[in-house]
Amino acid sequence: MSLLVDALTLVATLDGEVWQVTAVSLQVSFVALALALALAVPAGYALAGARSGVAQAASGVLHALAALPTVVVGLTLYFALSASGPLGWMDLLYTKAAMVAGQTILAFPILAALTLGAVRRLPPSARETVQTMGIRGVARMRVVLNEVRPALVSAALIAFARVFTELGAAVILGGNIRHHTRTLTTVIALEHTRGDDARALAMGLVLLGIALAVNAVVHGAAALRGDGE
Amino acid sequence: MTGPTLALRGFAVGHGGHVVAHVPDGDLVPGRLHLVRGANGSGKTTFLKTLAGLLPPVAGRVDPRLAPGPGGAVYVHSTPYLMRGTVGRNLRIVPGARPDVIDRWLTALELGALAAAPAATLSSGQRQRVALARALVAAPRCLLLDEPEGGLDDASLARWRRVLTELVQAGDTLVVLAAHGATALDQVPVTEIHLTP
Repeated sequence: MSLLVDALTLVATLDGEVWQVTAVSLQVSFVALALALALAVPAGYALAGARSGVAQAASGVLHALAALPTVVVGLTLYFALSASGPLGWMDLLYTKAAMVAGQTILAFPILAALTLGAVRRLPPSARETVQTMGIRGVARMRVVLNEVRPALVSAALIAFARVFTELGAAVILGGNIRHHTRTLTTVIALEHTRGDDARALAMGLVLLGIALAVNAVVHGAAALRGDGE
Repeated sequence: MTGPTLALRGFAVGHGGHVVAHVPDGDLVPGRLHLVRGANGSGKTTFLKTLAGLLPPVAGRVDPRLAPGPGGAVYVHSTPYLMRGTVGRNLRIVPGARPDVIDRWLTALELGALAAAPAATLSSGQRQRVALARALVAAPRCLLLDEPEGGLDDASLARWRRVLTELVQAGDTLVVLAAHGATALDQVPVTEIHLTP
């Protein structure tokens, strides 16, 4: 109990470095989420339009990939980006870009799978209406995705929660370098290892607070737009 | 009468190569209302969707001029799907829709006051009218209506039948309508199409 009191006291008196770490966490996760949305939502939409068997198989694979352990993604990308790896020439290891890449890979299957599912669950009359109105190509994608917008908002929140709170890829690909690639999750692990559990818990409370705040803001905005699920 | 005539020869419709209904040989001509008759399950919807290009015919072919969309074939569901957002947005999603054309059909179907209303808040009759207006905004060469009068109250029904009568009389649009019960348009000639198994 005294640990929690210590942690809460620390939260109230957190120093500038904590906010810098928080900023790195938010920056990496939001960029990764934006990239994953840009890639995964059109991919999920396209797969939803495939033949039924193909779409079902793709859905199964994406759901399996959504459960990829973060350390496995981190390690795999680490080998690819290390000096002797195939992408070593990019010199990205221990940068925020490498962390963004890892988190994008983590978010992609979640977003693609949920987009695919949401589009396929639309009633046949929705697809027929779009078709009979002669809405094609990119315009069709925009109209259809707008029909499943509440599901996309939920998917984005789930994907954000996954990448913002993950440790494996962040620590392996970013290296927990102070003032550079240190994030809330990597610093929590570090402080715990050092034995400063009060500080680790304080960071944990900040992480939890931000994750909850993002959820609240997005849900609030969706409710105002009449987009609630 | 400037619209196209559509010939139906050896036409059969169904799903996955399995015939649901044979269509009697004949021509769809402008200036007439084509009334598709048959009991539930007789293939009326399948026939309309096939003419609309939403399903491939099992036998015969659909005129290539009837590609789905504006200027081609447009099908209206018996229980229409309306897009999220306002009534106005549902009409604006029609490719190439002009604001004056949208206003014209909103007014004709007495939807002007509802233009800014969310589609999700409408009654079934109002939804039906929005779907009809949306189809008319597309100015189709062939308009395929599946039980369009369900949910319309007496006032809406009278107004809708006036709109439909004018549309048929103008002669630019082939109108094919599937109806379970009676659909009487006093001032236009009717061709009945009886589907057979």
